Amino acid sequence: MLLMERVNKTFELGGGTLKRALVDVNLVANEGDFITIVGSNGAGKSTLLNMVAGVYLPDSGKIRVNGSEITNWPEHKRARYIGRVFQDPMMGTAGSMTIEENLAMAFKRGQRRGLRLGVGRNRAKFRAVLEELGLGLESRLKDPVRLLSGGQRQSLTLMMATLTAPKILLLDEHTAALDPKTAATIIELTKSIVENHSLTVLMVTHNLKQALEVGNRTIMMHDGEIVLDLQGKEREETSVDSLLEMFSRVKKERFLDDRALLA
Amino acid sequence: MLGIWQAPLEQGLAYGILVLGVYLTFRTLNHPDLTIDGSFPLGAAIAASAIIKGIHPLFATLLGFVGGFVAGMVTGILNTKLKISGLLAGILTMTGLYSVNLRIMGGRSNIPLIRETTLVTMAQDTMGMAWGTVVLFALIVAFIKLVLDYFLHTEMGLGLRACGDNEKMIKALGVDTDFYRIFGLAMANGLVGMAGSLVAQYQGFADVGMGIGTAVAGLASVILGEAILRPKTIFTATLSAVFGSVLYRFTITLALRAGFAATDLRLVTAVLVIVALALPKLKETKLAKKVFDIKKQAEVQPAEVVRREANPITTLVTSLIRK
Repeated sequence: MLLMERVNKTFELGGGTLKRALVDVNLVANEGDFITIVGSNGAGKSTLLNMVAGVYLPDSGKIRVNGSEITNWPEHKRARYIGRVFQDPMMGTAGSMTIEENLAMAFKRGQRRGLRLGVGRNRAKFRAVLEELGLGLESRLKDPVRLLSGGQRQSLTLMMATLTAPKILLLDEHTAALDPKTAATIIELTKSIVENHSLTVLMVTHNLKQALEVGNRTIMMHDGEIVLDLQGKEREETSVDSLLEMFSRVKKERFLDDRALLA
Repeated sequence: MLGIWQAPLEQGLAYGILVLGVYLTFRTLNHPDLTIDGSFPLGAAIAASAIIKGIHPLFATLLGFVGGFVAGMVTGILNTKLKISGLLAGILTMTGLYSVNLRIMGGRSNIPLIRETTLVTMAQDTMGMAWGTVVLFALIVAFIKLVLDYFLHTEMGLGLRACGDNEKMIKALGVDTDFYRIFGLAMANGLVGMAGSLVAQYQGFADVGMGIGTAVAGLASVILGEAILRPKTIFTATLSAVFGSVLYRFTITLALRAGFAATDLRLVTAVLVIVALALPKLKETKLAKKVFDIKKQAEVQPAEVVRREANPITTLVTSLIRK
C-alpha cells in the first residue's frame, strides 16, 4: 500500500522562476490497485512517480509504503519496495551486459550484493522466466542486451522490474516509444504480470483509451494537483470523450479562477 | 632467449597491473581517471621508503596497493559526493599527491634501491636473471587478472559494471552508485599503486616524476589490446588489457630502434590515443564514408561486416595495407 500525504515539490527553473510541480498531493493506493495517471504535459505525472521512486525528495509531506515511512530514503534504498519501467527502452537495461547478467542484477533488487557469482546457480530460473516471455530469449542468455530490439528490451525490463515481486510498480509511459503492435503486446504482458503477482501499480500514459481500459482506477493531474479520481462504476461509465470533456472543463475552471484572482 | 624483448616484456607485465586498473575505470566505470599519474609514483614512494626502512618487500608492495586505494577513494569522493567532474577530480588528487609523494620520500625526489633486497632481486636469485623477473610479474598479473575476472561476475561486480553502463537503471535496482564508484576507483588505483611499487623495485629506484604520462600510456595500452584481440567477454577484455600493455612496450622498443628519440615517445603515445578515440567520429564524415564504403564493397562477407562493429584501427591498418 502506498500513501502520500500533502506532498509538495517546487522546482527552480533558473532566473528566479519557480514551478510548483506537486501541490498538496494526497494519494492512497491500496494493495492491488492499478492506477492509470493522465494529464497534459507538465501536469506533474512524472514528478509524482519520481517522488515515489525517490529521484527527488519532497519539500514537505509524507510518503509511506506498507507502513514504513520512506519520505527521506534515497533512491537506491527505496528499490527494495519499488520496481520501475521507463519510457525509453534503452534506460531499463544495461546494453553492454548479457541478458542473464541483467536478470541477475534485477534478481538482487534492493538486497545486499555480495561476492557470490551473479548468475551462477540462478541460470535455470532465468531461463524459465524468459520462456514465460515467449520471445525466444531463453536461448540467448549470453547475448549482450544491446542486440535486442526496443520491444524486446522493454519486455525484459518489465520482467526485471517484477522478477522479485515489488510492493509498487511504477510505469512511466512505458509503451510510448514503441510501435503500436509492440505497445499492445507490452500492455498485455503488463496486465498478466500484474495479475499474477497482484501488484500495486502506478502507470502514466498519454493514451486515454488505454487509461480507462487498463487497471481499476484513473487519476487526472493538472498543474501539480490531482483533479480527478475515477474508480468503480463511475469509471466504467466514463468514455474517452467524457474524460476529454472533464479535462477541458478542469482547465477552463482553473483559467477562470486565475482570472478572478487577477481581477 | 628473449634478447632485446626481455626488458619490454618485463615492463609490459609490470605495467599490466596498472593497465588492469585503467581498464577498470576507463572501460568498466566509463570514467577516464587521471589520478593514476599520482597514485603510480605514490605506490613507488611508499614501497621504496618502506624497503629502505627494512620492511619486507612483499609487505611494502601491499602498502603501495593500500596507498593507491586511498588515493582512488579521494578522487571517488570528490567526484560523487562533491559533484566535481571525473576528470577534474582526478587532476586535483594527482596534483595534491605530488606534494604527498615528496613528503613520503622524505623531501627527496628520488630514492635508490640499488643495494636493497626487493621482490625482483629475490625472484632473480631463485629463478635466474633471464626469467626470474618475467615469471614473477607474470604470476602476479595473472593472479590479479583472474581475481578481477571473478569479481566482475559477482553480484557486486555486476553492479559495478552497470554503474558505468546505465547508472539510472542500476540505481532503480537498489545499488548505491556513489559507493560503487568510490570503491571502483579505489580498487583501480590500488592496482596502480601496486604497479608503482613493483616498477620501483624493478628499475631500482622511486622517482617523484615517474608518474607523468602513465594514465595516457595506460589508455593507449587498453586501446591497443582491444584493437588486436577485439574482446567480447570480461575474460578476454582483461587479457587484452595485459596483452596491450606488453604490446605497447614492444611498440616503444620498436619506435626507439626506428630512430625516435626517447623524449618523443610521449607525443607518439598521445597521438596514438587521439587517433584511436577520434577515428569512430571521423568515420561519420563524408570523405571517410566514401573510403569505408569502397572498403565494404570489396569485402566478400557482408554478414561479417554487419555483425562485427568495424574496428577503427584494424580498418585503418587494412586499408593502408591494401593501398
